[in-house]
Amino acid sequence: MADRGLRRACLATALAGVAQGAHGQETGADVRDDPLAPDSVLAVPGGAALVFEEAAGLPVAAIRVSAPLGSGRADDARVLVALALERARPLGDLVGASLWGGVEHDRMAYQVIGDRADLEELAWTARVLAGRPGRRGLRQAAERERARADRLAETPHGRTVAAAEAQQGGPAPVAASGPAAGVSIAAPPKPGDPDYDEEAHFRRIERLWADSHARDRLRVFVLGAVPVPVALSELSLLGATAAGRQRPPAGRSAEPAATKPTDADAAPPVHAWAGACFSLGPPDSARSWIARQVLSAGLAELPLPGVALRVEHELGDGSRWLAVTATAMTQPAADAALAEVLALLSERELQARWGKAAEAVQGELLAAAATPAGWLSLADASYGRDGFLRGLLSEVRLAGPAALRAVAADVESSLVRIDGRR
Amino acid sequence: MNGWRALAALAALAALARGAQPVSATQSSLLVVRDWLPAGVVVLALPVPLATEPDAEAVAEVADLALAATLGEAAAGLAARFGAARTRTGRFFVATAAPEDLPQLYGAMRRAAARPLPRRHVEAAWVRAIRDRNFRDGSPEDRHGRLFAARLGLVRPADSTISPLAAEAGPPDSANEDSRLAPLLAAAARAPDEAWERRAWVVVSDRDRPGLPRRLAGPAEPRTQRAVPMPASASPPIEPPRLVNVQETAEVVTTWVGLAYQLPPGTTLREAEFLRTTLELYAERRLGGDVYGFSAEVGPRGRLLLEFSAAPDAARPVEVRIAETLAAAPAEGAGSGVAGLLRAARSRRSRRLARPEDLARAAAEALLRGAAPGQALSFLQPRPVPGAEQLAALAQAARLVVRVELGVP
Repeated sequence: MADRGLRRACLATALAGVAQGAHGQETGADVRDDPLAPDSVLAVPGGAALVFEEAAGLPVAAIRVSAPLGSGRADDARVLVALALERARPLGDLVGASLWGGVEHDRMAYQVIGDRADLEELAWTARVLAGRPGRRGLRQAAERERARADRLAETPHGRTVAAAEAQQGGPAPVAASGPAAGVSIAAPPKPGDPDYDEEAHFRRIERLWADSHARDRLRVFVLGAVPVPVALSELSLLGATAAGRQRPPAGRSAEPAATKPTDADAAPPVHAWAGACFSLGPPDSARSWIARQVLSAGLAELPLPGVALRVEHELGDGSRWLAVTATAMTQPAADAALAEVLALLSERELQARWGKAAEAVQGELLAAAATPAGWLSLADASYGRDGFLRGLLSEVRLAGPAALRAVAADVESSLVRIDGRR
Repeated sequence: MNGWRALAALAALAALARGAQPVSATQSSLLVVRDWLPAGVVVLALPVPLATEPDAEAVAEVADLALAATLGEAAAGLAARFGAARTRTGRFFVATAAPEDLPQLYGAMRRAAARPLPRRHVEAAWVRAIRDRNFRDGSPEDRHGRLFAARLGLVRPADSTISPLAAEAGPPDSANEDSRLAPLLAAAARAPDEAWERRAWVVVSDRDRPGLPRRLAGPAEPRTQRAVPMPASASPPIEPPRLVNVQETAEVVTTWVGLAYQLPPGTTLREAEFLRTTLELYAERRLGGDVYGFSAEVGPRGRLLLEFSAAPDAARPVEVRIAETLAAAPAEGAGSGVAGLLRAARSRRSRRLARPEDLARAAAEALLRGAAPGQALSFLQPRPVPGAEQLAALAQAARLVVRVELGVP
């Protein structure tokens, strides 16, 4: 990270004639030390935003490609990512690279990390990941998505997770009919449904790809000792061309809204349970990070014999919605356990654990940013916000009574209880 | 003369103040400098107790929990993340913090490790250790692990004092302490600097900073310098005259198998690490659904330790396939031997060394094995990668010396 300014200057000079309009994003002195502030950001006209972080000491090269979810459905996005991973896995295995794909921070993202000597293969793998989807593996991916939805519908915890997904605006792809019914929305037919049409499904996935993976919508992050000209030649032509872009599908608002999940008639009658989902506030706010830590620390100390607790943090998508389920032999025990969990987020309890949690969060954030995979993910989440991590760390240090009161208020106003009573 | 003495004393004091104690036979300090480092790491590594004292394992377990709490407390206000990990070679206490906080963090941890552990942390650790033991004792994995470790000479086969007391599951009552418990708690409370003969401190920082260990002069040259000769000099090798083969029956669903391979004398840690990684990849890719819980480790005495669980009728075939893989010549191509997985192993090792916490642990483990700091630094270099023929020759020369099986009658 040393000599960053000099490198940027050289880079800007070197690239001046390569890509008209390319610019090295100069960051101020305040943000220069921010671990997430990249060395340079190049915006090639009509192409992806290329974000470079030079790390000469790293034995790996790490590449992340991300595309906006936009108005696409989260379940279709998961299928699209699964198809990409299926295509790219043999290439990654060839050089022992680690591949990851998922939907987080409202973006579809792929990461490939491997030995820096294998840069060419890693870049090739990244191109394949972001490439046009094929039909191969579609049915299996769709069936897995269907299985996920069914699995969510058949357990109390899954129902709570689905409810949280619905509350934060994403689809809650839970079966609308049959024994697994519970939380329901009008989702497109899936494998196994009589009216499932694989061709139509594929066209939807292809449309999602063409829209979201258009070159000018992609972000490409490169971390490691990767020469910029090499990265430009290997990674600037990812994704779909503008000509291939389709009209965006109908917005999410056009889809039927999720019903509020209060009907528990179809819950399996194994144990009594109580669930709740709630938001801890804006995803990237210091207070939501600290509140999550308070909850984790509090749960570790909570003596709840005979109760099984499950907490789904962030639902894997970077939001700050949480789903909590308490399962016990009796309904009063489950209700009481849930009440104890929610009490951890009361003003009094937050006050008691706030300082220690704030310290822990700073350590967690730094530790996450210190790994290639963690850096790529955080840098994408904070894209365009210079000094994000330093700012957040500073906010975390300074977050006081007003912040914890805001958390308590956020939890109270967003709380949705899922009643397990039969 | 007095002037020279005073100067020497001042120099020693200055070195101590900087935390750069001279490397002794028992304690090593190493600074690893890496250019790209959003967060730095401090690791304290202690050895795993060998089967010398009946309660050594129990003492270590309680001491570790108490030490983790003590270190966390010592670094309060520093926004550090603490973690602990254990292998068959070492126990690692890892703290991550902003690079600028490293000197303070390192100093706080050094001071905490030099003092007896607070009684309240030891007592709390005792309660937690009992709870943990009650939770895991008797599980097939735990039983097999203990059986295997006993045959490897790493722990005593019999249960230690802590187990008969485990049923009490309450905080130790200082007024009515069991006569066996008091010395155990006292032993667990000893200052780590006094309790353990070999200790290693490793700091991963973005640059030299006052208060951190001294940086070694000049870069290590991995091409000319041999890595750690194995087995480690501190632990003389135990060479069983023939295969120790133990079969214990139990009412378990799957069969648990532990295999220890003695590597040829002179094997370097780098070579052993690559062989371990290729076997790990082999298990993931080629054994797939046939095995569960596969682990591969280079043990403290330089043996390659493999453990896995499989369906009763699949365990033996899996063993045979592993043996065939080790015996395969490189000429047999990527489909059979370990050499075919070398490129993927290189990538996996690079990814591991890219994570500061793993980098620090790898260095600390090398130091615990008896490596000099320069050798440990050399081991952290991703290159050179052993050649395919070299690795295949090593695999072929590996000799099965311990086999432990826990399965249905």
